[in-house]
Amino acid sequence: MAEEELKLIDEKGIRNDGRKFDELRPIKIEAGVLKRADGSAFLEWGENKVMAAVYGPREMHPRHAQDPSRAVVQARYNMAAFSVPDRKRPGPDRRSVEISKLMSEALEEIIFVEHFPRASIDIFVEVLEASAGTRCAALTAASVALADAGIPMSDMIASCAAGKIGGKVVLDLGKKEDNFGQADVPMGMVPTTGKITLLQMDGNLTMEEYKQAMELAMDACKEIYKIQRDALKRRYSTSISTFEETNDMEEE
Amino acid sequence: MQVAEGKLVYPGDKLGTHEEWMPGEGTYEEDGVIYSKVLGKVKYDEDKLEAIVEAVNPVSSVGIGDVVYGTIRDKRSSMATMTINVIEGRSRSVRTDLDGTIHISKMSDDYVDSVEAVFLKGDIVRAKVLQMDPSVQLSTMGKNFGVVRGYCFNCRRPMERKGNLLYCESCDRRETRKLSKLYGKIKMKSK
Repeated sequence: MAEEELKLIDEKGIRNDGRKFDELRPIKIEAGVLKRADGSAFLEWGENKVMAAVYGPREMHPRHAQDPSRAVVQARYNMAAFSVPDRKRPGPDRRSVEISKLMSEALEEIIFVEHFPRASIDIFVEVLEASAGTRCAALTAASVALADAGIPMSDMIASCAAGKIGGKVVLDLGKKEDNFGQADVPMGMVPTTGKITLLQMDGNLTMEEYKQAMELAMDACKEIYKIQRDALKRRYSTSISTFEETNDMEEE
Repeated sequence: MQVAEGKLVYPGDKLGTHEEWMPGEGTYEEDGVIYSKVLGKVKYDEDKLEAIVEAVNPVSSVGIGDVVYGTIRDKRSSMATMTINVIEGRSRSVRTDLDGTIHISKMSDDYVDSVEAVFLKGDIVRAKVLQMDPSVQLSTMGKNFGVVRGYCFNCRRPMERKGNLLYCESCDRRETRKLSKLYGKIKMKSK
């Protein structure tokens, strides 16, 4: 990490981008944006732009990976080549494989996988614009898309990061804070029960700082949870009467 | 009654306690409390004393009376098996490979002597679901049910309908099937 020449947080506790220590970047979610997906969501979180699509439960391919007792949750996190200032080499890399696995495991916790033996539930998350905290954005969007797809699940997951910059524990790191800060703790949880489904840490925190970070992130998750529910409400309160099934007969 | 009937609820929303209602469709119970497990509208069944959540975007599942499309997989002396691929009126794909059986007595309104004269492996069939449990039973009785696309036994090309028979131009073959009135009229999309 670079030497801290850049001042990330001033004496008054105001950050580089004008936020207070416990302030989130603005979040906007829209559910049901993709016509051909079973469920979808578009999320904007500060500079981040993330699209999530859900398909299934459907027949699992490859078939040898089917589980006769439950559905397999396959999440795919992918960053678009144009999502970062320098072109990102397209395709899966170490980082995106990690995040995909992480998301699958987090979402498996809330989905009733045992209802759909031998099936797969596929979640595709495309990061269109990235600016720190994309894994949290991706998990938050995926959770809305799953609810939109009508997948039976015990609750929804909200996700947010906390970290440490300039010696202070703050919420939701921005890009500069992420790059030049001292620690980053992305966290995903079920806000109503407090169950944690994702937790990572990059950098070092003392026990005390860690507790502070967790508290900040947990409170933020509750805020995000409200935004998620609001997105679903907007989607279905307006279109519920006009919602119609496509009647074209189709065949594989 | 904690939640008003017809209200939109989200996965994880509390609907009531086990003492008030039984957990019905679209709900689950944990520690005596009933929660919604899908995004949908609340309903209460006063007869069964069930709390139900009707999903706004339900996952496809085949039920009795559904009209389904599928491919003939196998033939036996008195039955044919078919893989169900699509439910009519639903754009969502069927959850997994679901096989149904058509008994020889449910193939046609007329007497069927042998399955050979009715279906051939690979035929695409429109059928009605008669039973789900303990096995999936289908019927192709009725004018609109039966083969909607058949393939030539010889060259596997799709065949044309000529009266009550199917005709393959390239082989100059005629084959018999239990044809649906909708033969050749169903639009098919390849995935």
